[in-house]
Amino acid sequence: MEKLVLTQKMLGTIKQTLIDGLTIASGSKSSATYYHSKDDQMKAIQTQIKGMYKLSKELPLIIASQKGATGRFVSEVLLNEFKNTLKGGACNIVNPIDWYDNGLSDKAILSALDNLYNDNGLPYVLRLFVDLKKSKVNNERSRKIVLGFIWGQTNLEFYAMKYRNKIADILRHVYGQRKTSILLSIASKQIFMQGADLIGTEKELAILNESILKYFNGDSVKAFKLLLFLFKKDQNVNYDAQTFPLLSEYQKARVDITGIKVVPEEVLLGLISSVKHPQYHTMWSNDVQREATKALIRKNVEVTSVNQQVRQTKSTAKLGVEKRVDVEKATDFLALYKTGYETTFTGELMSAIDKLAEKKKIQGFFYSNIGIIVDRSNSMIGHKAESKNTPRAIADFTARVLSKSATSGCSIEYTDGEITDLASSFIGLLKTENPSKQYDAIFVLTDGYENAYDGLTNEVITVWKSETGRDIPIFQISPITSAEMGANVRKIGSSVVTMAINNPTALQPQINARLLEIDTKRWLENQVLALEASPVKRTKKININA
Amino acid sequence: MNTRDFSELLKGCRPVKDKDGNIIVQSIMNMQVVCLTTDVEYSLDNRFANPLTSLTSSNSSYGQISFTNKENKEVILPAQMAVMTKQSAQNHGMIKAGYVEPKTQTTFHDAGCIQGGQTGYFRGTSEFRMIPVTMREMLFDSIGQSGGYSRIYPAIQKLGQETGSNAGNYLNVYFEKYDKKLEQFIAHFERPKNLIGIIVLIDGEIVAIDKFPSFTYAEQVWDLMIRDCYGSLAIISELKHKTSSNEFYTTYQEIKRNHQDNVIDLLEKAMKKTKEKITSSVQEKIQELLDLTFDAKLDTEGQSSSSRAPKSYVLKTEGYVGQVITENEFNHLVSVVKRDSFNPNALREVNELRRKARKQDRFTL
Repeated sequence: MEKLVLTQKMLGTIKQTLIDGLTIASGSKSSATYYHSKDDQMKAIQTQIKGMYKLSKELPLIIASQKGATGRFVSEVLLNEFKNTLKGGACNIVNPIDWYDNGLSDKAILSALDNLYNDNGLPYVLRLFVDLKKSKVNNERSRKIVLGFIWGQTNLEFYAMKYRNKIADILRHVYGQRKTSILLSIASKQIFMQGADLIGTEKELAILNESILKYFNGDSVKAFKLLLFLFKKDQNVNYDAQTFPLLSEYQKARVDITGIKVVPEEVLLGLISSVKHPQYHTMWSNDVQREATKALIRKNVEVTSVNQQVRQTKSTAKLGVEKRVDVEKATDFLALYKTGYETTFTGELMSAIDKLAEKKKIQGFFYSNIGIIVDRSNSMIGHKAESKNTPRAIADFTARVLSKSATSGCSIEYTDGEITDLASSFIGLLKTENPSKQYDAIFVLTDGYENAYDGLTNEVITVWKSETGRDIPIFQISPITSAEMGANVRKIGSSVVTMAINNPTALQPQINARLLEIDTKRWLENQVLALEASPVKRTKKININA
Repeated sequence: MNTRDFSELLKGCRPVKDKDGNIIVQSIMNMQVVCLTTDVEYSLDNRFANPLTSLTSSNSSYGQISFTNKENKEVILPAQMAVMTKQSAQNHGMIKAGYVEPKTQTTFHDAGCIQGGQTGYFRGTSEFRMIPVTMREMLFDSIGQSGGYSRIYPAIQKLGQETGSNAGNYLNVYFEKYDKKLEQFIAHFERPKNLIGIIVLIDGEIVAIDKFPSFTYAEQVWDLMIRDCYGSLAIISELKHKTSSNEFYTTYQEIKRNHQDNVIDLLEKAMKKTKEKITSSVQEKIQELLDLTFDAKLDTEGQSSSSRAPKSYVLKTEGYVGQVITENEFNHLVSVVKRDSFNPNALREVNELRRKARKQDRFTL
């Protein structure tokens, strides 16, 4: 890698933007907060990303590649990058030779995409691809990345079944209407050919190769059948159980849904709710039938993820289905907490949360003995309709993860009453401190809307620090960012360091990010080097330069 | 003319307190909010429909608003609601609270335009906002007066001057300028459970009191009340560079002078003392109002003439003006504001004299 081209003059501006960017990246959610609508939140995130891009085009991607960046943030960064095309914007941090010619741009995009897929799941990636369509983005680079991602999925058969229309929609946009028709026509011819070789004109084979086969890692006939399935042109296609264990079941479900176990619940509901389904009139034509059918499907289906099963706890009980869910296998803390808030925190649920917190604990955590304040006021419940209970779930789980991460001790104080009186909790926390084992950091988990009177906590902290001479770090961790703060954290005062997180995973990178205040350039160099070393590729088969 | 004592207007209500018995006072800058609650039996949750979702409004001449109640429940209009529509029509505002019977249409002819030169009538809209509290006094004063469609303009002009929004006769100009700030303002206050009313103080003086028909009703109108109605007070405070009082810091220094405890104990004592000070200051201000007696004049314009329907009274006393919607001595909705020109110290002197008079023994030999 060449040296960074970042000038000393730019460094100051970039430093603050980076700090703000990391805060927004790990705390920004598109969902509404207690106070702000989804639209407000989205606009605030988009404005911040545009600002970063304007400063230096690599900046949003570097931040989006960090662990703990939220799905919404990464999606918006990628969308912005694709909209601006490869040549858009200016590189003011990385040498353009590295960015354009040595493939760093590609690696940055793919790392962010990897981040999006691994941390948030396929639906987020598909939503991004659909957004490309909505934004009318279909340049060569975005096309190749989308095709590489979709056809490169090892679990494509399952995804094709679960997200059939969405994937078809994305592919139709990427290929274009005309090319889609050509591909479907050639594919339907190929699957009835005998023998292993592809048969067709040179032009046809070139199209197949360019559009599908160079991205698909498997038998070409399988790719063609999947294509025909996605576009619902598979009336005469036979899915043998050996090659297509899921689609063969799906075909059975088209006629009879009882006894189907490996087709996702929503897919089965989609099939049976169509009046064309042979069982519609006996299983779906009135409310009683519907409830019974939903219960039957819920009982039979075995491919529902544990996280989803946890989220379904309330509705499963409502359907009268008894289904054993191994909550300890759940990896989504939000699902566990929300189930607890909506039903009750059973011993089993608490044990699962505890074990998950143990798994997520921060290795090599800087602080060994910490104090934590958790804001339990009304505003932490979140927005009534869109993100109910999310802020408090994040705060509660983060407190638990922090307590596991601190090796020698941890005290937790919860705010009392319905308003945000953090100051009294701060004093309460100090009272529980062991004088021979003092806190080496204090974490205040709050949305920052203090109203016992605004600024009271800051006054208390300032007095305490000056009277005791202690200068330990006090972190304000916000489970939300506020639209009115330009998607940033609402700070309770000058005496705290703020960070926003939507998952405790983001905590250590956020703390690390504070180190960038000391040596911004070194931090940036490390991030770029990490990007360069990342093993991401557009396809699993070959590397393509675009 | 009837009279109504302040203590009677808020009967059944009490301030929300913390576990130590201190009144919970939520503050921003020089503004404080005290929430009121009541016993569950006095919250008529099932009787009234949501005023923001069960009504549609229309008009067919300037200076009037008709409300159509879609629900099978009665509706009490909160004090001074505004219709601010995207339709090509003149926005209008109410100068008071009102009552609408189930499944009926009620027309108030004493409403006013709030959008200067805009023409056109609105149809079937539920785009409601609340008129800022700083306009309330002038609007309550215009109840029963002949003012025509332009009756609200002077109050908008006053708001425009106080908030530097150059609003002229256009209330929407004020909202457009400050909407973002007002959204942020909502965030500062939290609605406690079982809220039935709100008392707002500026610089330690009570400037507005609202009592709602039920917990549900209070929940429904909370955001609008905080953002649209009381928000103007925060905007004005910010423009005047008012800040919180740093009460804790001052109290800590006082306590430190008189105690030898360790820092944590001092902090705890100072916090307790700070809360007590805030509570006693608010308590004192509420106490002063308890001596108030309002003249109550029946308001009939637009209100139901049915003998069984709640009645509307305009309340006036030295320094305060407002309205009550009441039925068989049960007060569903109360809305009172301090007159801008009123100096509460004058009232204090009068009250002090009255208290002394009450303490004096009768003349005997």
